[in-house]
Amino acid sequence: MSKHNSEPDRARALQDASAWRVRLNESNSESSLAFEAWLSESPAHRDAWEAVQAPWELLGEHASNTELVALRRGALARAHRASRGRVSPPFWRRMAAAAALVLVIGAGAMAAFFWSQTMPAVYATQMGERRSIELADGSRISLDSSSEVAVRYTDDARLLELRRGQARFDVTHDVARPFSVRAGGQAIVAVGTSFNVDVSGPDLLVTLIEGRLRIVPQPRADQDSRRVREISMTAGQQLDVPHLQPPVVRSVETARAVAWERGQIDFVDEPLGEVARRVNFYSTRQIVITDPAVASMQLSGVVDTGDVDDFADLVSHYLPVRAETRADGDVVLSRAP
Amino acid sequence: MSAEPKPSLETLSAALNARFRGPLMAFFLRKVRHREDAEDLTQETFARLLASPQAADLNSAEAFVFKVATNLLRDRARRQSVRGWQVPVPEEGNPEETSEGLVEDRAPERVLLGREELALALRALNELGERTRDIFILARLENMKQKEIAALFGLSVSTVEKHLIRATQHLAKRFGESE
Repeated sequence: MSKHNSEPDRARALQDASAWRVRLNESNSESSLAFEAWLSESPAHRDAWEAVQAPWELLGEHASNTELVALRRGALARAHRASRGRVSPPFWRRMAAAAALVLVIGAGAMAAFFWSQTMPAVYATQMGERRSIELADGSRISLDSSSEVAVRYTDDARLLELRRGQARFDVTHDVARPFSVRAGGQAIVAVGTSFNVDVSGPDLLVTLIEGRLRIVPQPRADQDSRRVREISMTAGQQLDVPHLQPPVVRSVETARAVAWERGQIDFVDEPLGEVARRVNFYSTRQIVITDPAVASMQLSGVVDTGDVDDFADLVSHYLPVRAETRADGDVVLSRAP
Repeated sequence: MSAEPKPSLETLSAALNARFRGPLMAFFLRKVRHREDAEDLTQETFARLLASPQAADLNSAEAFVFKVATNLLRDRARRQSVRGWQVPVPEEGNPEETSEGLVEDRAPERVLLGREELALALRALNELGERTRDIFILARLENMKQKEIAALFGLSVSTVEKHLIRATQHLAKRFGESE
Protein backbone atom coordinates (compact mmCIF):
# COMPACT_ATOMS: atom_id res chain seq x y z
CA MET A 1 0.00 0.00 0.00
CA SER A 2 2.75 2.36 0.97
CA LYS A 3 4.51 2.01 -2.36
CA HIS A 4 1.97 4.43 -3.81
CA ASN A 5 3.32 7.12 -1.56
CA SER A 6 6.49 9.03 -2.11
CA GLU A 7 9.36 8.75 0.35
CA PRO A 8 8.95 12.31 1.76
CA ASP A 9 5.22 11.66 2.27
CA ARG A 10 5.98 8.52 4.23
CA ALA A 11 8.54 10.28 6.38
CA ARG A 12 6.06 13.07 7.04
CA ALA A 13 3.30 10.62 7.96
CA LEU A 14 5.65 8.77 10.31
CA GLN A 15 6.59 12.00 12.03
CA ASP A 16 2.95 13.00 12.44
CA ALA A 17 2.05 9.55 13.74
CA SER A 18 4.91 9.76 16.26
CA ALA A 19 3.70 13.15 17.44
CA TRP A 20 0.17 11.75 17.86
CA ARG A 21 1.53 8.78 19.80
CA VAL A 22 3.43 11.02 22.20
CA ARG A 23 0.53 13.44 22.71
CA LEU A 24 -2.07 10.76 23.28
CA ASN A 25 0.22 9.14 25.83
CA GLU A 26 0.67 12.47 27.57
CA SER A 27 -3.10 13.03 27.81
CA ASN A 28 -3.53 9.49 29.07
CA SER A 29 -6.07 8.79 26.37
CA GLU A 30 -5.85 6.48 23.41
CA SER A 31 -7.71 8.65 20.96
CA SER A 32 -9.50 11.91 20.22
CA LEU A 33 -11.82 13.23 17.51
CA ALA A 34 -8.92 15.09 15.87
CA PHE A 35 -6.77 11.96 15.92
CA GLU A 36 -9.52 9.80 14.41
CA ALA A 37 -9.97 12.45 11.71
CA TRP A 38 -6.24 12.43 10.93
CA LEU A 39 -6.16 8.66 10.84
CA SER A 40 -9.06 8.37 8.43
CA GLU A 41 -7.53 10.95 6.05
CA SER A 42 -5.37 8.49 4.15
CA PRO A 43 -4.09 4.92 4.11
CA ALA A 44 -0.59 6.33 4.50
CA HIS A 45 -1.59 7.71 7.89
CA ARG A 46 -2.92 4.33 8.94
CA ASP A 47 0.27 2.60 7.79
CA ALA A 48 2.37 5.10 9.68
CA TRP A 49 0.26 4.65 12.81
CA GLU A 50 0.66 0.89 12.69
CA ALA A 51 4.41 1.29 12.27
CA VAL A 52 4.50 3.52 15.37
CA GLN A 53 2.22 1.31 17.44
CA ALA A 54 4.12 -1.95 16.95
CA PRO A 55 7.34 -1.10 18.84
CA TRP A 56 5.45 1.15 21.29
CA GLU A 57 3.15 -1.65 22.42
CA LEU A 58 5.92 -4.22 22.31
CA LEU A 59 8.07 -2.29 24.77
CA GLY A 60 5.10 -1.83 27.09
CA GLU A 61 4.40 -5.55 27.09
CA HIS A 62 7.99 -6.43 27.83
CA ALA A 63 8.58 -3.83 30.55
CA SER A 64 9.96 -6.52 32.86
CA ASN A 65 12.43 -7.89 30.35
CA THR A 66 15.87 -8.03 31.95
CA GLU A 67 17.55 -5.75 29.40
CA LEU A 68 14.71 -3.23 29.55
CA VAL A 69 14.85 -3.28 33.34
CA ALA A 70 18.54 -2.40 33.09
CA LEU A 71 17.73 0.52 30.77
CA ARG A 72 14.97 1.67 33.15
CA ARG A 73 17.31 1.57 36.13
CA GLY A 74 19.88 3.55 34.19
CA ALA A 75 17.34 6.16 33.07
CA LEU A 76 16.00 6.60 36.63
CA ALA A 77 19.48 6.86 38.13
CA ARG A 78 20.63 9.44 35.56
CA ALA A 79 17.43 11.47 35.99
CA HIS A 80 17.98 11.40 39.73
CA ARG A 81 21.60 12.50 39.36
CA ALA A 82 20.76 15.24 36.84
CA SER A 83 18.16 16.67 39.22
CA ARG A 84 20.44 16.87 42.25
CA GLY A 85 20.88 20.36 43.61
CA ARG A 86 18.19 21.66 41.29
CA VAL A 87 15.17 19.69 42.33
CA SER A 88 14.35 19.81 46.02
CA PRO A 89 13.49 16.68 47.99
CA PRO A 90 9.85 17.73 48.46
CA PHE A 91 9.53 17.69 44.69
CA TRP A 92 10.29 14.01 44.76
CA ARG A 93 7.76 13.47 47.43
CA ARG A 94 5.11 15.31 45.40
CA MET A 95 5.97 13.25 42.42
CA ALA A 96 5.42 10.10 44.36
CA ALA A 97 1.72 10.74 44.33
CA ALA A 98 1.68 11.86 40.74
CA ALA A 99 3.55 9.08 39.10
CA ALA A 100 4.56 5.56 39.77
CA LEU A 101 8.29 6.06 39.61
CA VAL A 102 8.88 2.52 40.33
CA LEU A 103 11.26 0.01 39.09
CA VAL A 104 10.38 -3.56 39.27
CA ILE A 105 12.79 -6.34 39.79
CA GLY A 106 11.87 -8.44 36.84
CA ALA A 107 13.68 -11.60 37.62
CA GLY A 108 13.83 -13.37 40.96
CA ALA A 109 17.57 -13.73 40.42
CA MET A 110 18.21 -10.05 41.04
CA ALA A 111 16.29 -10.09 44.32
CA ALA A 112 18.04 -13.27 45.37
CA PHE A 113 21.37 -11.58 44.77
CA PHE A 114 20.53 -8.70 47.09
CA TRP A 115 19.20 -10.99 49.75
CA SER A 116 22.42 -12.92 49.71
CA GLN A 117 24.56 -9.83 50.41
CA THR A 118 23.76 -9.19 54.06
CA MET A 119 21.47 -10.43 56.77
CA PRO A 120 18.10 -8.69 56.61
CA ALA A 121 16.54 -7.02 59.65
CA VAL A 122 13.56 -9.07 60.77
CA TYR A 123 10.53 -7.65 62.62
CA ALA A 124 7.88 -9.95 64.06
CA THR A 125 4.79 -9.76 66.25
CA GLN A 126 3.20 -12.25 68.67
CA MET A 127 -0.43 -13.24 68.50
CA GLY A 128 -2.61 -10.29 69.42
CA GLU A 129 0.29 -7.82 69.15
CA ARG A 130 0.46 -4.92 66.71
CA ARG A 131 3.57 -2.98 65.95
CA SER A 132 4.63 0.07 63.97
CA ILE A 133 8.15 0.29 62.56
CA GLU A 134 9.82 3.36 61.12
CA LEU A 135 12.58 2.57 58.66
CA ALA A 136 15.76 4.56 58.00
CA ASP A 137 14.31 6.36 54.97
CA GLY A 138 11.10 7.40 56.80
CA SER A 139 8.98 4.62 55.32
CA ARG A 140 6.64 2.95 57.80
CA ILE A 141 5.46 -0.59 58.33
CA SER A 142 2.43 -1.41 60.47
CA LEU A 143 2.63 -5.03 61.43
CA ASP A 144 -0.49 -6.96 62.35
CA SER A 145 -0.78 -9.85 64.82
CA SER A 146 1.37 -12.98 64.21
CA SER A 147 3.25 -11.36 61.35
CA GLU A 148 6.83 -11.19 60.19
CA VAL A 149 8.61 -8.94 57.74
CA ALA A 150 12.26 -8.93 56.63
CA VAL A 151 13.87 -5.68 55.48
CA ARG A 152 17.07 -5.13 53.56
CA TYR A 153 18.19 -1.74 52.31
CA THR A 154 21.06 -1.45 49.86
CA ASP A 155 22.42 1.56 47.97
CA ASP A 156 20.04 1.06 45.10
CA ALA A 157 17.19 -1.06 46.37
CA ARG A 158 14.80 -1.43 49.29
CA LEU A 159 13.79 -5.05 49.45
CA LEU A 160 11.20 -6.37 51.85
CA GLU A 161 9.58 -9.69 52.33
CA LEU A 162 6.32 -10.33 54.15
CA ARG A 163 6.89 -13.84 55.48
CA ARG A 164 3.61 -14.28 57.34
CA GLY A 165 0.60 -12.36 58.55
CA GLN A 166 -0.37 -8.92 57.36
CA ALA A 167 1.27 -5.51 57.07
CA ARG A 168 0.62 -2.05 55.76
CA PHE A 169 3.45 -0.23 53.99
CA ASP A 170 3.71 3.56 53.68
CA VAL A 171 6.60 4.29 51.42
CA THR A 172 8.82 7.37 51.32
CA HIS A 173 9.58 8.04 47.73
CA ASP A 174 13.09 7.59 46.47
CA VAL A 175 13.44 7.17 42.75
CA ALA A 176 16.96 5.77 42.96
CA ARG A 177 16.01 3.07 45.45
CA PRO A 178 12.85 1.27 44.40
CA PHE A 179 10.78 -0.26 47.18
CA SER A 180 9.49 -3.73 46.65
CA VAL A 181 7.75 -6.30 48.77
CA ARG A 182 7.80 -9.98 48.10
CA ALA A 183 4.89 -11.94 49.44
CA GLY A 184 3.03 -15.12 48.82
CA GLY A 185 6.04 -17.36 48.41
CA GLN A 186 7.60 -16.99 45.00
CA ALA A 187 4.63 -15.28 43.43
CA ILE A 188 4.73 -11.53 43.77
CA VAL A 189 6.83 -8.41 43.75
CA ALA A 190 4.86 -5.31 44.65
CA VAL A 191 5.97 -1.71 44.45
CA GLY A 192 4.02 1.37 45.44
CA THR A 193 3.29 4.10 47.91
CA SER A 194 0.72 3.03 50.52
CA PHE A 195 -0.60 -0.48 50.48
CA ASN A 196 -1.68 -3.43 52.57
CA VAL A 197 -0.46 -6.98 52.00
CA ASP A 198 -2.19 -9.93 53.61
CA VAL A 199 -0.72 -13.44 53.48
CA SER A 200 -2.53 -14.71 56.56
CA GLY A 201 -5.29 -16.48 54.62
CA PRO A 202 -5.44 -18.92 51.75
CA ASP A 203 -5.40 -16.04 49.22
CA LEU A 204 -2.71 -13.42 48.86
CA LEU A 205 -4.47 -10.04 49.13
CA VAL A 206 -2.86 -6.77 48.08
CA THR A 207 -4.88 -3.59 48.67
CA LEU A 208 -3.71 -0.27 47.25
CA ILE A 209 -4.61 2.68 49.45
CA GLU A 210 -2.71 5.44 47.72
CA GLY A 211 -0.44 5.89 44.73
CA ARG A 212 0.25 3.18 42.21
CA LEU A 213 1.32 -0.37 42.39
CA ARG A 214 2.76 -2.89 40.04
CA ILE A 215 2.54 -6.53 40.71
CA VAL A 216 5.13 -8.64 39.01
CA PRO A 217 4.38 -12.32 39.25
CA GLN A 218 7.57 -14.26 39.76
CA PRO A 219 7.81 -16.79 36.98
CA ARG A 220 7.79 -20.37 38.09
CA ALA A 221 10.92 -22.35 37.37
CA ASP A 222 9.34 -23.86 34.27
CA GLN A 223 8.13 -20.52 32.93
CA ASP A 224 9.79 -18.10 30.58
CA SER A 225 10.02 -14.75 32.37
CA ARG A 226 8.84 -12.77 29.35
CA ARG A 227 5.59 -14.70 29.45
CA VAL A 228 4.66 -13.35 32.81
CA ARG A 229 2.75 -10.12 32.79
CA GLU A 230 2.75 -7.21 35.16
CA ILE A 231 -0.52 -6.11 36.68
CA SER A 232 -0.99 -2.41 37.40
CA MET A 233 -3.32 -1.29 40.14
CA THR A 234 -4.81 2.06 41.05
CA ALA A 235 -5.90 3.29 44.48
CA GLY A 236 -8.98 1.56 45.82
CA GLN A 237 -8.27 -1.72 44.12
CA GLN A 238 -7.51 -5.07 45.62
CA LEU A 239 -5.68 -7.94 44.01
CA ASP A 240 -6.78 -11.36 45.15
CA VAL A 241 -4.48 -14.26 44.29
CA PRO A 242 -6.01 -17.60 45.24
CA HIS A 243 -3.63 -20.52 45.49
CA LEU A 244 -2.82 -21.89 42.03
CA GLN A 245 -5.60 -19.92 40.40
CA PRO A 246 -5.71 -16.81 38.25
CA PRO A 247 -5.81 -13.60 40.27
CA VAL A 248 -8.68 -11.14 40.32
CA VAL A 249 -8.57 -7.36 40.63
CA ARG A 250 -11.60 -5.70 42.22
CA SER A 251 -12.58 -2.34 43.67
CA VAL A 252 -12.82 -2.29 47.46
CA GLU A 253 -13.28 0.07 50.33
CA THR A 254 -9.69 0.38 51.45
CA ALA A 255 -10.65 1.38 55.01
CA ARG A 256 -12.04 -2.11 55.44
CA ALA A 257 -8.77 -3.74 54.44
CA VAL A 258 -6.86 -1.78 57.08
CA ALA A 259 -9.53 -1.91 59.81
CA TRP A 260 -7.07 -4.15 61.70
CA GLU A 261 -4.93 -1.07 62.37
CA ARG A 262 -7.79 0.20 64.55
CA GLY A 263 -8.11 -3.22 66.15
CA GLN A 264 -11.17 -4.19 64.16
CA ILE A 265 -12.27 -6.75 61.62
CA ASP A 266 -14.68 -5.32 59.08
CA PHE A 267 -16.44 -7.74 56.75
CA VAL A 268 -19.27 -7.57 54.24
CA ASP A 269 -21.10 -10.63 52.95
CA GLU A 270 -18.30 -13.00 53.79
CA PRO A 271 -18.68 -16.67 54.60
CA LEU A 272 -18.62 -17.38 58.32
CA GLY A 273 -15.70 -19.77 57.90
CA GLU A 274 -13.48 -17.01 56.48
CA VAL A 275 -14.55 -14.48 59.11
CA ALA A 276 -13.83 -17.04 61.87
CA ARG A 277 -10.37 -17.61 60.40
CA ARG A 278 -9.69 -13.88 60.69
CA VAL A 279 -11.04 -13.70 64.24
CA ASN A 280 -8.84 -16.67 65.18
CA PHE A 281 -5.80 -14.85 63.82
CA TYR A 282 -5.88 -12.55 66.86
CA SER A 283 -6.75 -14.92 69.67
CA THR A 284 -5.50 -18.01 71.46
CA ARG A 285 -9.15 -18.89 72.09
CA GLN A 286 -10.41 -20.18 68.77
CA ILE A 287 -13.72 -20.27 66.95
CA VAL A 288 -14.37 -23.83 65.85
CA ILE A 289 -16.74 -24.68 62.99
CA THR A 290 -17.05 -28.26 61.78
CA ASP A 291 -20.34 -28.04 59.84
CA PRO A 292 -19.72 -26.83 56.25
CA ALA A 293 -23.27 -25.46 56.10
CA VAL A 294 -22.41 -23.18 59.03
CA ALA A 295 -19.07 -22.21 57.53
CA SER A 296 -20.74 -21.07 54.32
CA MET A 297 -23.37 -18.84 55.97
CA GLN A 298 -22.79 -15.22 54.98
CA LEU A 299 -22.67 -12.24 57.26
CA SER A 300 -21.56 -8.63 57.53
CA GLY A 301 -20.34 -6.67 60.53
CA VAL A 302 -17.52 -5.17 62.53
CA VAL A 303 -15.95 -6.88 65.53
CA ASP A 304 -13.03 -6.03 67.78
CA THR A 305 -9.99 -8.20 67.23
CA GLY A 306 -9.35 -10.60 70.07
CA ASP A 307 -12.94 -10.51 71.32
CA VAL A 308 -14.11 -14.04 70.64
CA ASP A 309 -17.17 -13.78 72.92
CA ASP A 310 -18.42 -10.63 71.19
CA PHE A 311 -18.08 -12.37 67.86
CA ALA A 312 -19.93 -15.47 69.09
CA ASP A 313 -22.73 -13.22 70.40
CA LEU A 314 -23.04 -11.40 67.10
CA VAL A 315 -23.16 -14.61 65.11
CA SER A 316 -25.71 -16.38 67.28
CA HIS A 317 -27.87 -13.27 67.24
CA TYR A 318 -28.02 -12.85 63.49
CA LEU A 319 -27.63 -16.36 62.16
CA PRO A 320 -29.36 -19.65 62.99
CA VAL A 321 -26.26 -20.70 64.89
CA ARG A 322 -25.62 -21.79 68.47
CA ALA A 323 -22.39 -20.86 70.25
CA GLU A 324 -21.00 -23.12 72.95
CA THR A 325 -17.89 -22.35 74.98
CA ARG A 326 -15.81 -25.43 75.66
CA ALA A 327 -13.76 -26.02 78.78
CA ASP A 328 -10.56 -24.98 76.97
CA GLY A 329 -12.12 -21.61 76.06
CA ASP A 330 -12.68 -22.33 72.38
CA VAL A 331 -16.13 -21.50 71.04
CA VAL A 332 -17.92 -24.09 68.92
CA LEU A 333 -20.46 -22.81 66.39
CA SER A 334 -23.11 -25.29 65.28
CA ARG A 335 -26.50 -25.12 63.62
CA ALA A 336 -29.26 -24.04 65.98
CA PRO A 337 -31.81 -26.81 66.50
CA MET B 1 -34.72 14.75 43.52
CA SER B 2 -34.32 18.05 41.74
CA ALA B 3 -36.99 19.26 39.36
CA GLU B 4 -34.51 20.81 36.95
CA PRO B 5 -35.48 20.39 33.32
CA LYS B 6 -33.10 18.06 31.55
CA PRO B 7 -32.75 17.41 27.83
CA SER B 8 -34.42 14.12 27.12
CA LEU B 9 -32.24 11.05 27.14
CA GLU B 10 -33.27 10.26 23.57
CA THR B 11 -32.18 13.68 22.33
CA LEU B 12 -28.83 13.39 24.06
CA SER B 13 -28.32 9.87 22.93
CA ALA B 14 -29.06 10.81 19.31
CA ALA B 15 -26.66 13.75 19.48
CA LEU B 16 -23.88 11.60 20.93
CA ASN B 17 -24.48 8.97 18.29
CA ALA B 18 -24.35 11.45 15.43
CA ARG B 19 -21.12 12.96 16.64
CA PHE B 20 -19.08 10.16 18.15
CA ARG B 21 -20.32 6.85 16.80
CA GLY B 22 -18.13 6.80 13.69
CA PRO B 23 -14.87 7.81 15.39
CA LEU B 24 -15.55 5.52 18.36
CA MET B 25 -16.25 2.50 16.18
CA ALA B 26 -13.08 3.21 14.18
CA PHE B 27 -11.15 3.45 17.45
CA PHE B 28 -12.51 0.22 18.94
CA LEU B 29 -12.21 -1.70 15.67
CA ARG B 30 -8.47 -1.15 15.78
CA LYS B 31 -8.34 -2.60 19.26
CA VAL B 32 -10.65 -5.59 19.24
CA ARG B 33 -11.20 -8.50 16.90
CA HIS B 34 -14.92 -8.63 16.46
CA ARG B 35 -17.28 -6.00 15.18
CA GLU B 36 -19.82 -6.96 17.87
CA ASP B 37 -17.25 -6.20 20.56
CA ALA B 38 -16.63 -2.78 19.04
CA GLU B 39 -20.40 -2.21 19.00
CA ASP B 40 -20.71 -3.26 22.63
CA LEU B 41 -17.86 -1.03 23.68
CA THR B 42 -19.29 1.93 21.78
CA GLN B 43 -22.67 1.43 23.44
CA GLU B 44 -21.02 1.04 26.83
CA THR B 45 -19.14 4.31 26.26
CA PHE B 46 -22.43 6.09 25.51
CA ALA B 47 -24.09 4.52 28.52
CA ARG B 48 -21.32 5.81 30.79
CA LEU B 49 -21.42 9.24 29.18
CA LEU B 50 -25.17 9.49 29.61
CA ALA B 51 -24.83 8.56 33.26
CA SER B 52 -22.37 11.41 33.85
CA PRO B 53 -23.04 15.12 34.24
CA GLN B 54 -20.73 15.88 31.30
CA ALA B 55 -23.21 14.36 28.87
CA ALA B 56 -25.48 17.41 28.89
CA ASP B 57 -22.79 19.50 27.24
CA LEU B 58 -21.56 18.03 23.98
CA ASN B 59 -18.39 20.11 24.03
CA SER B 60 -17.25 18.83 27.38
CA ALA B 61 -18.35 15.37 26.28
CA GLU B 62 -15.79 15.59 23.49
CA ALA B 63 -12.92 15.84 25.96
CA PHE B 64 -14.45 13.04 27.95
CA VAL B 65 -15.58 10.51 25.41
CA PHE B 66 -12.19 9.03 24.49
CA LYS B 67 -11.10 8.96 28.12
CA VAL B 68 -14.12 6.81 28.86
CA ALA B 69 -13.39 4.68 25.80
CA THR B 70 -9.72 4.30 26.77
CA ASN B 71 -10.62 3.34 30.33
CA LEU B 72 -13.11 0.75 29.12
CA LEU B 73 -10.39 -0.83 27.01
CA ARG B 74 -7.92 -0.75 29.87
CA ASP B 75 -10.36 -2.39 32.28
CA ARG B 76 -10.97 -5.03 29.72
CA ALA B 77 -7.28 -5.55 29.05
CA ARG B 78 -6.60 -5.74 32.78
CA ARG B 79 -9.28 -8.36 33.24
CA GLN B 80 -7.75 -10.31 30.39
CA SER B 81 -4.20 -9.91 31.52
CA VAL B 82 -5.22 -11.09 34.95
CA ARG B 83 -7.02 -14.00 33.41
CA GLY B 84 -4.05 -14.70 31.19
CA TRP B 85 -1.64 -14.76 34.08
CA GLN B 86 0.42 -17.91 34.22
CA VAL B 87 -1.25 -19.10 31.07
CA PRO B 88 1.59 -19.99 28.73
CA VAL B 89 1.73 -17.81 25.65
CA PRO B 90 1.55 -19.99 22.54
CA GLU B 91 4.66 -20.33 20.44
CA GLU B 92 4.97 -17.91 17.58
CA GLY B 93 3.62 -19.23 14.32
CA ASN B 94 1.35 -21.64 16.08
CA PRO B 95 -1.88 -19.72 16.43
CA GLU B 96 -3.95 -22.89 16.92
CA GLU B 97 -2.56 -23.20 20.43
CA THR B 98 -3.90 -19.84 21.42
CA SER B 99 -5.72 -20.12 24.70
CA GLU B 100 -9.06 -18.45 25.27
CA GLY B 101 -7.84 -15.68 27.55
CA LEU B 102 -5.15 -14.52 25.18
CA VAL B 103 -7.03 -14.34 21.91
CA GLU B 104 -8.28 -10.84 22.55
CA ASP B 105 -4.82 -9.65 23.38
CA ARG B 106 -3.72 -10.01 19.85
CA ALA B 107 -5.91 -7.28 18.46
CA PRO B 108 -5.50 -6.45 14.77
CA GLU B 109 -3.36 -3.47 15.70
CA ARG B 110 -0.91 -5.60 17.58
CA VAL B 111 1.10 -7.89 15.45
CA LEU B 112 2.28 -11.03 17.15
CA LEU B 113 5.65 -9.90 18.29
CA GLY B 114 8.25 -12.14 19.72
CA ARG B 115 11.83 -12.39 20.72
CA GLU B 116 13.30 -11.16 17.44
CA GLU B 117 11.12 -8.08 17.47
CA LEU B 118 12.09 -7.30 21.05
CA ALA B 119 15.76 -7.63 20.14
CA LEU B 120 15.12 -5.25 17.25
CA ALA B 121 13.40 -2.73 19.52
CA LEU B 122 16.22 -2.91 22.06
CA ARG B 123 18.79 -2.38 19.32
CA ALA B 124 16.85 0.63 18.03
CA LEU B 125 16.63 2.02 21.58
CA ASN B 126 20.38 1.64 22.00
CA GLU B 127 21.01 3.55 18.79
CA LEU B 128 19.43 6.62 20.34
CA GLY B 129 21.45 9.19 22.24
CA GLU B 130 21.47 8.50 25.97
CA ARG B 131 19.38 11.56 26.86
CA THR B 132 16.75 10.81 24.20
CA ARG B 133 16.59 7.18 25.26
CA ASP B 134 16.30 8.02 28.96
CA ILE B 135 13.51 10.50 28.31
CA PHE B 136 11.65 8.00 26.17
CA ILE B 137 11.96 5.26 28.80
CA LEU B 138 10.80 7.52 31.62
CA ALA B 139 7.72 8.55 29.64
CA ARG B 140 6.89 5.15 28.18
CA LEU B 141 7.78 2.74 30.98
CA GLU B 142 7.87 4.82 34.16
CA ASN B 143 4.67 6.74 33.40
CA MET B 144 6.29 10.12 33.94
CA LYS B 145 4.66 13.23 32.54
CA GLN B 146 6.63 15.51 30.23
CA LYS B 147 6.59 18.22 32.87
CA GLU B 148 8.17 15.92 35.44
CA ILE B 149 10.89 14.79 33.05
CA ALA B 150 11.57 18.41 32.06
CA ALA B 151 12.03 19.35 35.73
CA LEU B 152 14.42 16.46 36.34
CA PHE B 153 16.72 17.25 33.45
CA GLY B 154 16.32 21.02 33.55
CA LEU B 155 14.77 21.11 30.07
CA SER B 156 11.72 22.79 28.62
CA VAL B 157 8.59 20.71 28.12
CA SER B 158 8.73 21.25 24.38
CA THR B 159 12.31 19.93 24.26
CA VAL B 160 11.20 16.83 26.13
CA GLU B 161 8.38 16.37 23.64
CA LYS B 162 10.83 16.68 20.74
CA HIS B 163 13.05 13.97 22.27
CA LEU B 164 10.00 11.74 22.69
CA ILE B 165 8.79 12.20 19.13
CA ARG B 166 12.29 11.59 17.78
CA ALA B 167 12.63 8.35 19.77
CA THR B 168 9.16 7.13 18.78
CA GLN B 169 9.86 7.88 15.14
CA HIS B 170 13.23 6.14 15.20
CA LEU B 171 11.73 2.97 16.66
CA ALA B 172 8.95 2.96 14.07
CA LYS B 173 11.44 3.49 11.26
CA ARG B 174 13.67 0.60 12.35
CA PHE B 175 10.63 -1.61 12.69
CA GLY B 176 9.35 -0.64 9.25
CA GLU B 177 12.72 -1.48 7.66
CA SER B 178 12.71 -4.98 9.06
CA GLU B 179 9.46 -5.92 7.34
